[in-house]
Amino acid sequence: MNFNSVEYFIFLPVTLTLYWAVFRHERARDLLLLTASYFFYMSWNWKYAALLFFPTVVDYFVGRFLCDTTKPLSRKIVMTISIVNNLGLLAVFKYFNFFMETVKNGSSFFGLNLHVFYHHLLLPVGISFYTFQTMSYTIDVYRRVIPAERDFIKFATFVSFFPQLIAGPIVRAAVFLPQLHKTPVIIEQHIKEGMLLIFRGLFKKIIFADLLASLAVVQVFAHPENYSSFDLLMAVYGYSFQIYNDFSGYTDIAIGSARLFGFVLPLNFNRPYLAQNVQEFWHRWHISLSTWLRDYLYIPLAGSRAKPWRVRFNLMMTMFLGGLWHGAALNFVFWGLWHGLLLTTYHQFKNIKLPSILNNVVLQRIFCFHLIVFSWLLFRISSWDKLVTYIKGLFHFSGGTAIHPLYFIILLMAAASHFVNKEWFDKCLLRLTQLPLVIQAGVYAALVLAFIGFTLDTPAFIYFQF
Amino acid sequence: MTIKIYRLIYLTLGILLLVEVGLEIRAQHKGWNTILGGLLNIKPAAEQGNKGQTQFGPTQNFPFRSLIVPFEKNPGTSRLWIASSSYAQDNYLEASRIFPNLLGEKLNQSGFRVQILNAAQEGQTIEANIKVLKETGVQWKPDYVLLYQMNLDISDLSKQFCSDSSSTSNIKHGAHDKTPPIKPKVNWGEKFIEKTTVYALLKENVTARLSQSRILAQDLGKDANNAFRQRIYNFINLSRSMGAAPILCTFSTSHDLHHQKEIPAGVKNFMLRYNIYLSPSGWFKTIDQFNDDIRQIGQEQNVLVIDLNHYLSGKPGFFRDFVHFTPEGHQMMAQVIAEKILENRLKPHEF
Repeated sequence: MNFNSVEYFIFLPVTLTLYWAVFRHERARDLLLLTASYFFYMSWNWKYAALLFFPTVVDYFVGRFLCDTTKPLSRKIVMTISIVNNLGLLAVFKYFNFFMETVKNGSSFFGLNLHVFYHHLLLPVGISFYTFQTMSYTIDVYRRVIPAERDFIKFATFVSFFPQLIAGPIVRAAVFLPQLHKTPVIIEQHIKEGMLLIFRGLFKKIIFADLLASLAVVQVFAHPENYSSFDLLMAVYGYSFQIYNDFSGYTDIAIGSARLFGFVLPLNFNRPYLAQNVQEFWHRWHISLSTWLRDYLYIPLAGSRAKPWRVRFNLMMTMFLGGLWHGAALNFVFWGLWHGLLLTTYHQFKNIKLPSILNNVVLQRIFCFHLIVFSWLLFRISSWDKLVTYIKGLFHFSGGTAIHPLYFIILLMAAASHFVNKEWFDKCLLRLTQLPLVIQAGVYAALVLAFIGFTLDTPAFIYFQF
Repeated sequence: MTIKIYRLIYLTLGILLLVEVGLEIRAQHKGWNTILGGLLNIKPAAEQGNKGQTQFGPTQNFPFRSLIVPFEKNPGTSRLWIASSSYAQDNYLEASRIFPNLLGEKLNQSGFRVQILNAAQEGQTIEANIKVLKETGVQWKPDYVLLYQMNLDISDLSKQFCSDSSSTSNIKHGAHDKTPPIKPKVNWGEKFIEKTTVYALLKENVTARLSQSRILAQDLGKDANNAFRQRIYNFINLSRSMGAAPILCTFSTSHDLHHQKEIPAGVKNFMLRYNIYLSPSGWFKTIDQFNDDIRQIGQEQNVLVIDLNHYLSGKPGFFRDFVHFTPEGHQMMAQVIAEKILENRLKPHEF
């Protein structure tokens, strides 16, 4: 059940109506959210439910044990069990075949012909997100940052809450569990804001991300040898805005849907292409993942408080694992390493005084944007030959275009909505919520019709695969 | 908390419902199929083809849109099964005016005693036709099985071979993994929305036009071609295993590759409504390629091929859109097929 599917638009109002019906009873409310979340997850494959339930049960008991026990050794052992369990699930379902393939390729490089075993298990959607979420819970309980959750239903709801289950934001227990313990305050303005966020997300997904993909990005990336340098450049710009609008659109729908139920989820994007350097980019892009990596990986590795070579190693390692988190393929590893390299370079030179002509915000933003754009090439193209063809093509400096003008209009609109003044833009959008209800509903109904008409393909959200 | 706080959501859904009902009423008057019409059991004006023609199916016991015949076979009478789609079902015309029934009439008049089993159903690809033939055909024991289908298979194959799987191909287990990208299992919502009038109108008037702005594929590629050939082979093998003689037909369209510029905008929109991946010239090239495949397979497998493309294609007078026939088109179809069957003096056991 994708967020941009008809099923979700039936599922959401039905769940909301039931939620209203049981709202006064805390236990029934929790049970409803839990059931709805599992129903949502099982709409992909009912067998996935077991994979979601298993770490939930393990980490629930691990959390309780860690909270109740004071013996350091026992706590360490149990904590290790939890981490091995979570990473083990990821290793089996996500990385096993990749590992085998790497072993096979590595051995054939040395002239050996190893026969390796591949499994054919489906990768459960959102596994990287919910395993990271439960891991952050157990680590926080271990560190005694938060107490363990005693109520299993509430804990299971925290792990499986459907708006953020598949592609985040990765919510910390300290943020979400206290909300589950309070009776949510829902007023009509929250519903209006939630609806606004959902439709903003859908607009980003259907009008920007999917149209950019359908009109040119897919074809140009599939056959880069057939297009001019200009088209190749426009396609990679297009992909940069496609992936941003796809993922941030998903997050908007997730935050908006949670808002309808009275929950507040954290911000996950803050106009990342306005970053002046790569470090700032990571403060603006997929914030819940970058802070997760910072708090649970980079800082435990000693972060920036170590010797310079160690800081560089820590950055490279964090970004390598961050890249691998996205998918079991070499292109994601290279993508992570490229970001690691950019971050270490930035750390090396950040204190050097630039000549005044280069010390210009706009120039720095343009420069940083292009470094990120290049990283999307690594992210998007999984074949080495194709990547080389694409990069060579970019430097042919050939003109002419096979792309329809509509693509450029959409690209400009997507860029404008990203770079325009945020306060002004949000203010304009919020004005919609102050219009008479019938007009608001009319606008949303018209948008639904536009979404149907403007849908050429119905691709799933890109981050669903992670 | 009162239910009133959700009124914006309900109001939005209500407006959408009103729009759909309004458009359905309009569509019903224009003679189209609608959900409302289906619920209230009102047949649209254009679909009352069997009115006053009680001798034609489909009925409860006779699931074909052709002259009702008893279940038991008459000795000395052959049965001809029509495996096709909306082109042969054509609910917009009286049953007596569609080509399968005109064909039956012509053959019987010529002394070739035949009963037509018109199993054509809207939206049926070759694979779907094979499924129906397997499930129902066995009981009705046809002697000949005629296949006239291509358009829907091109749409179907284009979705498989031209749509974007590349952006999600590097998921899961690494590059060696050839399993298709994860898709939600429940797709009843999609099926439902596709039946609404608002969807049909938007797809025809907005999506189809928008499709012309994308970079469209110029051909389906070798894999799709092989997949199509495999469907034809499956059809032949199934027909023969049932003891029936397969008959293949090449596919005809209102316009051809050399007269693309003359295609009216409405016809172009029709093409792109159902297939948003292939360019118009890609369409024609694929049709030509698949027709060549049919001819070649026919020769190789010793199966009669009726080259309808040669007789009908590029003659817009025979078509009411890109692929569906006018009454003249149905007449011509029946005429050509009858002539070829008689010319070849078909006998079931020869196959």
